[in-house]
This record gives sequence, C-alpha cells and structure tokens, in this order.
Amino acid sequence: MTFEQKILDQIKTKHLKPLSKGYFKTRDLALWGLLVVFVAALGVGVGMIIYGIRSTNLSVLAKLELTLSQKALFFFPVFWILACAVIATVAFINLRKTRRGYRVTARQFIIIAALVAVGVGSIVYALNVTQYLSRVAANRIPLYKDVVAPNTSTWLDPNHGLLSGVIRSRDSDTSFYVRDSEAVLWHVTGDDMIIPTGYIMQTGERIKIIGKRTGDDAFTAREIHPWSSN
Amino acid sequence: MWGMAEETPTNKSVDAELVRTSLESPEEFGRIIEKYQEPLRRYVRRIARASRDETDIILQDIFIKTYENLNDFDQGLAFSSWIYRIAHNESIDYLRRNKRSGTSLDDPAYDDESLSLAETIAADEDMELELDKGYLRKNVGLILDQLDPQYRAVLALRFIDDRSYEEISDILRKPPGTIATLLHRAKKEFRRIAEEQKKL
Repeated sequence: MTFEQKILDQIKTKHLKPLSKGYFKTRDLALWGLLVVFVAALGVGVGMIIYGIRSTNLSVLAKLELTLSQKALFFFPVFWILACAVIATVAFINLRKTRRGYRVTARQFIIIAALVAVGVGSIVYALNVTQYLSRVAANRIPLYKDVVAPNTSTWLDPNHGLLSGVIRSRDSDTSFYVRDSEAVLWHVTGDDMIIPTGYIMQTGERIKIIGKRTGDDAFTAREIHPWSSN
Repeated sequence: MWGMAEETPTNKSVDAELVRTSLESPEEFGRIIEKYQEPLRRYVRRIARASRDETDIILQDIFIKTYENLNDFDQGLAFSSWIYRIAHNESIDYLRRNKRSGTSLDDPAYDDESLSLAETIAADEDMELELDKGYLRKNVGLILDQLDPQYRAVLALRFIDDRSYEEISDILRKPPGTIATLLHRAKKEFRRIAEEQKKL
C-alpha cells in the first residue's frame, strides 16, 4: 500500500471530513470581534488617561508636600496607562492570530494602535463617557479614588494634602471642624494659614483646604479657599 | 536547488483547483499528497530531525490536518505556503513533544542537501577561506543539529527550497522584515557553530 493510499484509507475508515467553511468564518469573526472590543477598551483607557491628566490642577499640585515621584504618580493616571499597555499587548497577540495579522510588525501595530486609541479616546472623552465612568467607579469601587485616580477627586484627598467640606463648628480662627462629603468630621488647625484677602470663614460654608493630614481625622491647614474659587 | 520551486501563477491555479476537487471528493486529495509528500518529507526531516518512520507518522498527521482544514485555505496565499505552514507547525510540535535535538540523520540525500545548504551559506558569508569543503562535508550535520529549529527552517526554506521572503513569511507567520533579520541571524549562528566545531 502506498503512502498516499494509507492516508486516504485513514480518511475513509475514520470518516474524516473537512471542517465547514462556517466554522472558520465564525473563528475569524470572533477574532476580529475581539479586536474591535480591545480597540474600544483601549479607546476608553486613553480617554481615562486624558481625563486624568486634564483633571489635575497643576497649581494645586505644585503646592502639595509630595516628592517628585509622588507628584508624577499623582499627575499621571498610572493605573490606566498600565491597563492600556496590557490591553494593547493582548490586542496585538489577537491580531497576530488573524489570517494575515502576522504581516503586521510590532512597530506598525504600535503606530496604528496609538493613532486609533487616541482618536477613539478623544471621542470618548469629548462625549463625557470618561467623566461618567470615573464618577461611577469612584462611587462603587473601594479605593478607586485613592489608588487609581487620586487626581480626579482632587479636593478630597487628605493623604495627598487636600481636604474639602462644610465647616461644622469653630473653636477659633485657627481651630475648626469640617465634615467632608464622606461624612468624616475633621479637626482642622493651622497657625499660619493663608486665607484670601477679605475672606471670612463662616460655619455652614463649604471650603477647600491645602495642608497635611496629621491624624485619622486631624488636618493641619496651610491654605484655605472658598469652594467657589478656582 | 532541491525541493519545491518558487510558486508560479500556473502552479497556484493548479493547486487551487486541486483543493476545490478534493473538497468534492476525498480521492482527489490523493493528488495533493502525491505532489507534496516528497518535498514535505525532506522539510520535516530537516526541521524535526526525526527518523524515517517518525517522519512518516508526522507526514500522515500533516496530510490529515491539511484535509480537515481545506476550507481554511486562504486563496490569497500560495497553497504550498499554506501546507508548508502546517508541516512547519507539526514539526515544531514534534520537537517540543520529544525534546530531541542533536540527532544527526544518516541519509545520503539529506546530507547532500545539507552540504549544498552549508556551501551556499559559506559562500554567502564569505567563509570559504576558513571553512573548506571537506570540513563542511564532515561536519554539516552536526552544525545543523545545533541550530535553533527556527534558524534551520529559515535557512532550508531560503537556500534549499528557494522560497521568496514573502513565502517564508507566510509559512512561518512572521512579518517579511523579520524574515530578513532571522536569515541574517541564522547565517551568523551557522558560522559561529561551524567555527566552534572546528576548534574542537
């Protein structure tokens, strides 16, 4: 029996048949569908990066008592940058599995992916999707504000020297109590506080404070601003 | 040069017709087996470093896989590139399963091909002064055995099967630019191993 006959016999006895065209079309569609999902996810990630960077108040950042690396971590949305890198890597692996995807080099992919992601990301940002997602995440995911996007919740970040809330009571001009939006009552003190000229603090008023956290619910203020100020 | 000649438009349409008829009748698939079994056998032996019997088993798997995936054949590619891709993947799978390397093949036809390959690389790399023909004839098997399978594949496809960069790119599923780099590295590695062997 020739080699060729041996194989044809195997095909016959095992009742082997070519897999259907539909099977391969479905597989190709799934691969391309996944790629679209990854590109959309990359767009959202880039949108979150744009939102994160644009949300940072640079003048406030300059006043915070943080080291340069802490400021960089505060300024750049590191979580989203890493997330985008992971999504892009998975998207590249997925692209390589498509019929002709292997012809795309890593460099070509990086250029195309960056252009598409920035385009989609800008649209996502312009449509306020990132603002919405950030708000939802901050409200529903524990630690999101502190770890993922400290800069997007700028005025309630005591660990980074920022506090905001309503003045509940006052012992004196240098010692008073502020309740923040998470219902924590803070004892704020500060002998050398800078207060805008002509501004007088009043109980029941919402204020923004720059300073340093000194305890679980204790904060030393360096600057006080009315909530409505920039 | 041995093996398959570079893909021509006529060859491409003949293969496309063979695929079409094989899908209609399994008997027709015999013509594909007949056409490709020898070049693929040589390719598998070069890459997988398998014995004759083992090569036959790998070849059977290749043709069964080819038959089952006939509907996946991309008409935009040369059929020979597509079937070589299956052969390449099966050979690499075999190597991984068996973790075998360094097995020299005692096949005169294989040795002639290997020698031709070695001489082509030597001429290309301007190594004649250091590595004479006698030395290459004696050691070519050992040198090839020590090469990474990926390098063996790219050298064999380029210098034995006379494949274009684009065809090699389609077979190995790598960008055409990467093939040039791989080929350069493979030749460099071949030279390094040859020189090391000579010192021993």
